[in-house]
Amino acid sequence: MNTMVHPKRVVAFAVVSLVGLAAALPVRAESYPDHPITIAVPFTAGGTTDLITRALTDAMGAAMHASFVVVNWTGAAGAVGTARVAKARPDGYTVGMLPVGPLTSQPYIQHLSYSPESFKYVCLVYSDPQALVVRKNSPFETVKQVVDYAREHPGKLTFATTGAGTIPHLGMVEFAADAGINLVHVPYQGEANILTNLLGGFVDSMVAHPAFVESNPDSLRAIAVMAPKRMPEYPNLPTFAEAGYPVNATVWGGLAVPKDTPEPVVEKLESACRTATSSGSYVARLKNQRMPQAYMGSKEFTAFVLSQYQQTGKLLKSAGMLK
Amino acid sequence: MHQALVDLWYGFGIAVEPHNLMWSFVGVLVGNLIGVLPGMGSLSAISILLPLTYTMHAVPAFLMLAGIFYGAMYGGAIGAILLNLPSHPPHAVTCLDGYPMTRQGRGGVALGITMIASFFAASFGITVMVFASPLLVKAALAFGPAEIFSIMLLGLVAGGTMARGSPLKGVAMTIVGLLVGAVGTDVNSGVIRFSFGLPELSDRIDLVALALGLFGVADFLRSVNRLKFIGTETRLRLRDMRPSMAELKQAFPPMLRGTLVGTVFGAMPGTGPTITSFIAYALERRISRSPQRFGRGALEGVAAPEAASHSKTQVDFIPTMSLGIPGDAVMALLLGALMIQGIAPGPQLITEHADLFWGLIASFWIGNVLLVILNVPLIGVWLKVLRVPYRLMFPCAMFFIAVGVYSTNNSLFEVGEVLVFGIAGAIFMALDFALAPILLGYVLGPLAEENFRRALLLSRGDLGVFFERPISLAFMLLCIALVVLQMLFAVSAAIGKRNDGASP
Repeated sequence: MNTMVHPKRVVAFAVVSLVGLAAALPVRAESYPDHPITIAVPFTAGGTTDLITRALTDAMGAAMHASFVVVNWTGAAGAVGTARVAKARPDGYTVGMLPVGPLTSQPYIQHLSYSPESFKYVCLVYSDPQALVVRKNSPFETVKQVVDYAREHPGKLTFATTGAGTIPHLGMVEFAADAGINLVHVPYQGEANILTNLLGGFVDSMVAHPAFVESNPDSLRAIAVMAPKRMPEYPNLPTFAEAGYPVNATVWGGLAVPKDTPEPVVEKLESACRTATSSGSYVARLKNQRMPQAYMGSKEFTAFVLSQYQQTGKLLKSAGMLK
Repeated sequence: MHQALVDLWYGFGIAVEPHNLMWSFVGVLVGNLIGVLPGMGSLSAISILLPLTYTMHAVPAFLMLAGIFYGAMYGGAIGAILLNLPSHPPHAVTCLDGYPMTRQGRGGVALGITMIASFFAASFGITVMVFASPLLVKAALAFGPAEIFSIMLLGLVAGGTMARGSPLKGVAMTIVGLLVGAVGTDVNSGVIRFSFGLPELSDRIDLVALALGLFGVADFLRSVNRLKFIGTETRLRLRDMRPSMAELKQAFPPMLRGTLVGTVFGAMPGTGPTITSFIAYALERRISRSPQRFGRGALEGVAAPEAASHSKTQVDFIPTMSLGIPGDAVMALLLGALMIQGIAPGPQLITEHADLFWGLIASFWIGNVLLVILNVPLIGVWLKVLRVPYRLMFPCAMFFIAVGVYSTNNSLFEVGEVLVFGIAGAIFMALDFALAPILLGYVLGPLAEENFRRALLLSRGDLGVFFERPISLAFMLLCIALVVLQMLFAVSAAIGKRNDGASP
């Protein structure tokens, strides 16, 4: 009697061994996703990247009939969370929402365990070009006036950014080199502090995204945007390229997975991402946040990240910031 | 003026709508409860409840989040006074005198005074916010890097000697604080300093971890084998919370001064509530006729910093609302919540979403009233906490510290930071060094450095900039006067001692 095996136990044993087997087997792309997918944001909850991610995952969840869990792995200007994504199990259940800074600048500035080659890129979902911004009553109206003034008064014109080595800073480094002018960089922590000093007349200009100007229409004015062509949201805002300085400084971000993730999984995510970014609810939520929408598929995004990585390296070198 | 009153009346109409009032109450209650838990500040409370607001209407959502914000602030004071655990860093100063008061069995009075001081200061701050904001914005813009540096320097000079006991030890601890503050990415060059190759350290040492390590864990490690109970000798009743007339009289002037300090600092963006409460405390100690009582349970040492941090927090909304730019991380989160609702922060918010703006202002006041009503019965519960035997309460507190610190950034590394600072703090305490100046140096140092270098960058390296600008010059002269006075006191004390020694 005792040797007889209880049928329930057989079932339990089978279930346990199947679960164990499933964990040991390589990811089966056909059944992906069969449990919730974790999306890691390397910045704090409630920030711009986080809000975009939550809008995107809501839309992607509907597109691929899966549920997403957004986690915030913060630290070291995004490098801590990005490193964790690079080291995650490459099964498609850990996806990073990785922005420009940790991907293309931080590997040059810090000693990190990852590089842009540590990922497979799924899709780019937002792209926010930076603009040169002055006080409303500033004498500068055009890029040409800025260049002329800076040529006559070398080392006099000041611009504020949110830190050395950030995209806004590197954009201005590129601009100054293109125009052959000498500008003074004044780094700050956060846009709040810049704004009070800009309005107080302590600095002449700042670099910010055009939506920032839109929230302060009575006190600020954008001169030009550092993008290859005019933004559809701001058709009256000229570009630096139009003035003869093809500067491109854009804050962007998108989904990426560890580099050993199987190709079919990447394709599934990419197609869900494509559907999600064109869905009405997602577009509306980005519009509420005044975040310009963008999309790049896996192939295009990969090439873009690698070329940006090269470009950033050159600019950081000329700014004297390589580690 | 008249328009402001009409708008305010309209705001009260919005805020007392039953639905809005209910969410305001929910926010205050949740904030209060979370604020009492060590390490769980308003930042974690708001991020936890943020997803709930996605489906809510904008006005009640924002009223609830704002309620959490000041509810948590008030709750933080309770933890600081009763358990020496500053879950909200500005309350680290409240620990200095609030906790000794608890040990003397006057914890109830300290809580009562805190409640009165914060309500008074918040009401004052709201009044200023409604009627004087255009003026304050103008004043704020006159503060450039040189001015901010001079104020920070004054704070360091005044605060370095704030500690009781040896001034030399106080200065030494301030310098330890400056060194701790230097860890992380340098704003000016982007260079990472003192990180020892750990990416986690490139973000600076976490303020919450530092405050809880130095004040909570260090004290626990020191007294673990010495105290049996805090509670038994205190015998607190609800009645004990009501301060006597004499105590009220004693607390009122510091409360008023603290409120004014908070109001002035509130208008200046970039000066956090921690700095404000430190400066209010230092000021109180400076002008007190019996400074030796501070740190041993002086009522003034509780009333002034609590009033300062509350009025500062209210007035802080001026730069947040009028410039559309958040003053700190919590404000940033609140503005993020607005953006989810499709409301762009900025000056036009006041005109485009008048119901939200004025409703919020009115709800500040209503929320503070709710907080007072709520805490009259709840205070009994908080006081019961003290009856829990030490051997049970402190392990629980340690657990909540670990959970709370982890939850702020989801980082186990920061829990380690708490432990390191707890051990270091216990060693310093054993050697009779005061710990408050470490926090002061940590908070003021990086701001002073950043603004010093920025001022020189803008003046092309001319040091004269600190003396040419009138506001900066005034603060510089105050610093010099303070140092000279301190030296004169020391010299006269030394001469006095020698004379004493000479005469038999």
